[in-house]
Amino acid sequence: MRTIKNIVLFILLLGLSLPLKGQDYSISQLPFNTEKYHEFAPVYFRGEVVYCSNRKNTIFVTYHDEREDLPLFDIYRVEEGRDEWGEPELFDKTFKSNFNVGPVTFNGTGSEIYFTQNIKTKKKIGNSIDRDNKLGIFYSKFSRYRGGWNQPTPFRYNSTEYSVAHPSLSEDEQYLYFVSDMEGGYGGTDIYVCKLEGDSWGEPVNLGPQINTEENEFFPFIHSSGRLYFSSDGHEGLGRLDIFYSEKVNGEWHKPIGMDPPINSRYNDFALVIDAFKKSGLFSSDRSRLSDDIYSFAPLYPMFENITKMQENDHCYVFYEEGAQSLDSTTFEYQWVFSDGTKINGEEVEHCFESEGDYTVELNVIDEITGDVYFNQATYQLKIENVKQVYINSPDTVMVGEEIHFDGRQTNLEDFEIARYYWDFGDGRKTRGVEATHIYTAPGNYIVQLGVVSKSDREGNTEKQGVYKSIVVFGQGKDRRRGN
Amino acid sequence: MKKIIFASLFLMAGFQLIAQPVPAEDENIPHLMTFGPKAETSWGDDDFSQTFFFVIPEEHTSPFFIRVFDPDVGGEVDEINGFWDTKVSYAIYGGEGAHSNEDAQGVDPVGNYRSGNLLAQKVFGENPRYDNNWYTFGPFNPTEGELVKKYGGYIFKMICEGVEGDDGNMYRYFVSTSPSENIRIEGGNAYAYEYSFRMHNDPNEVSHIYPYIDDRTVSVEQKNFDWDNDGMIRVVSVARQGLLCKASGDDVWNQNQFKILDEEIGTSLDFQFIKRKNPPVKNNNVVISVKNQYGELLPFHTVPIGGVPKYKYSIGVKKKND
Repeated sequence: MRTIKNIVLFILLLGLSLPLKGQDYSISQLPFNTEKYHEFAPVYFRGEVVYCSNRKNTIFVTYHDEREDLPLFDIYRVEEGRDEWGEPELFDKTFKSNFNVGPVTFNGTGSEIYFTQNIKTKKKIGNSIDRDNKLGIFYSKFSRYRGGWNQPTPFRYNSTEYSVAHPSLSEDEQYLYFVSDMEGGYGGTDIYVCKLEGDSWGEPVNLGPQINTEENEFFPFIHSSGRLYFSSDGHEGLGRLDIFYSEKVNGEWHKPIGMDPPINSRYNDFALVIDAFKKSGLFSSDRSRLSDDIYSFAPLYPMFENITKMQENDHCYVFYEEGAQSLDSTTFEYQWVFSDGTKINGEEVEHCFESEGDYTVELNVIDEITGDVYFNQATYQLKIENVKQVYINSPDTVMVGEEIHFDGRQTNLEDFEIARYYWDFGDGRKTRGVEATHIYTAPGNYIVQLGVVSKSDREGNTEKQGVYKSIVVFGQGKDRRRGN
Repeated sequence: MKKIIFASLFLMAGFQLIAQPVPAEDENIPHLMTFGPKAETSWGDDDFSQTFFFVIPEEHTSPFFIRVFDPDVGGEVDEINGFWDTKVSYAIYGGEGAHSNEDAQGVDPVGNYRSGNLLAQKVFGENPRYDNNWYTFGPFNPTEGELVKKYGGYIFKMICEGVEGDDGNMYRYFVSTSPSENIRIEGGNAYAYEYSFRMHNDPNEVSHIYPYIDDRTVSVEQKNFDWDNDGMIRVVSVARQGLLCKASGDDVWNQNQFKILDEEIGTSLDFQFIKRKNPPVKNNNVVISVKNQYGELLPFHTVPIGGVPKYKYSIGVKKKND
């Protein structure tokens, strides 16, 4: 029972549906990528995507990274579109630098920006950047008065001794996640977080060994649900940098889970962000083997954000004569006549109806003193309705290897015309359809989820509803009644 | 304001009343009962006297008659004790004080219980002419009664008393517009403060009396005599499914009190007399009265004010798992 509770708690903490398998995503390489230059670290910003690129943007001097001999990075913006994307352009000249700029993060309204930049911005002789020019985080606020971004100010933990970079601001703007190779970490770059204390950021806190490894962790993205996405080449993945996610359970980060293909690949996959509303997202990858590119992804299996625990339909009622005074000392016997054909004698009786419907209850009274029978002394019209919810009709306890039938036909939703049913059996397998069969291969407590999607309205919008219930799977030879 | 409501209740009810046999059909009491004064009280009569009041509505202006069924003491209906030697008196009173005199509204024939103007009186012994037959008093002019606004009409008092002997007189009344037929007076009623009557011999018959509960009533005490443990006394009302009361044994009194429910104010109670099935008790004569918390007797109307009270069943439903 505790295990079930923990599973439920875990799901509730996630605030999202159960982890989806990779094959449930579709990915698409976005059209504004270039073959020659890198595009990576996208974020959503007011209907646009803001990202980093080292594409050439001036006909004059182009500074190069002396290590790779590539142009340095700037921040670009591109208008987001479903089918067509706009033409990329520099995000804002305020952030144009002689050296690397980006990645960035915005607050919820898009009025504040934190971005990565080389700390030294003065030009040296020549047109390359030296190795000791560390990365730092800078902050700027959009001035409505001026109609532009204010002059950036450095993050208080910027240093010439180490880099801080890749900021990600939490939705409540109280936490700033970033990476750094500062001393005291676990190796390479680690992910840190600062908490806003008054008007300034508190001391950086390393997220600990569950997140950080001896290798590198990059590109944290803190989702509004509290889930942290990041990239790492230290956790076990598919190869090179992979994207992982973790969440806090009871205040501790749980072991990171790698995203499945096609999001992760054997190439560098990194810098994943998720749109808070659409549940689709963007990430970066060099899988094209030409340069870093930005990809979009969207779940094929819909996410059911607001799943609730399924309530059993309760058709059991207690019937009593509500006017009788306790001071009455005489004896009457009641006969309860139900329109489903049941008759029960008793002062207070229980009756369970088979299904929802309209029922009539009649009360006959037998005077035990005189023997007289008074028929139909009272009548009650009872309307029984199933709970308005998605309904999973299935056994609660099954055996390993047993074929189980799941049925969603008893779903009872108001103003909701169901177009599709989605089953998640809690063991990583999913299917679709109003009915499903499934076989569990291992004993345990499983959370089964059924989500339904409505038909599209005139504007093409759909609604989703979902429930979950627990199923106990016993190993062979166990008495299933123990699970009841 | 309360008085207006009270009067209205009676007036409203009065339009629905039709006078009247005494006992009335709804009471299902076979006969009233009065014994000769020499009878043992164990025969069922505690005081050998019974007073009834007849209400003639103000709207009724024509003469009327009070008819007595089987007024004599002898023959088929009455109860012999050795041999017929009993005489009973029927006296009809009207005018000032006939009802309003405090002694007239008591349960015992003491003080000035014969108050008012004596309008007619007749003594009957064994008389085959009136055995199983009617005797008619009257005609009476309605205004000869005592006008009691509370009851919406003129009140006439009938006292039946044992004068001689020890036999039991079983009889009934009918207030009629005709001297030779029983023709009801619309809006009439009758009541008593103490009921002395003969129970049915058939154990399946249930008799009733209907004391009226006014808005001054908080609790009542029922008191009965010589029930001979013949079954049960049960009180039913619009809000009371059935309250068992204490019934007396042979030649003794028994009583109990109970609280009046809010819903019972302005209605009548139904005192049900349910006979014991085995062994059946025959020729059982009983006396009953009901008082409020002030010791005031509640009138038993032969036609219950507000109609025969019926408990209203109501089905309560709740979820089993709530």
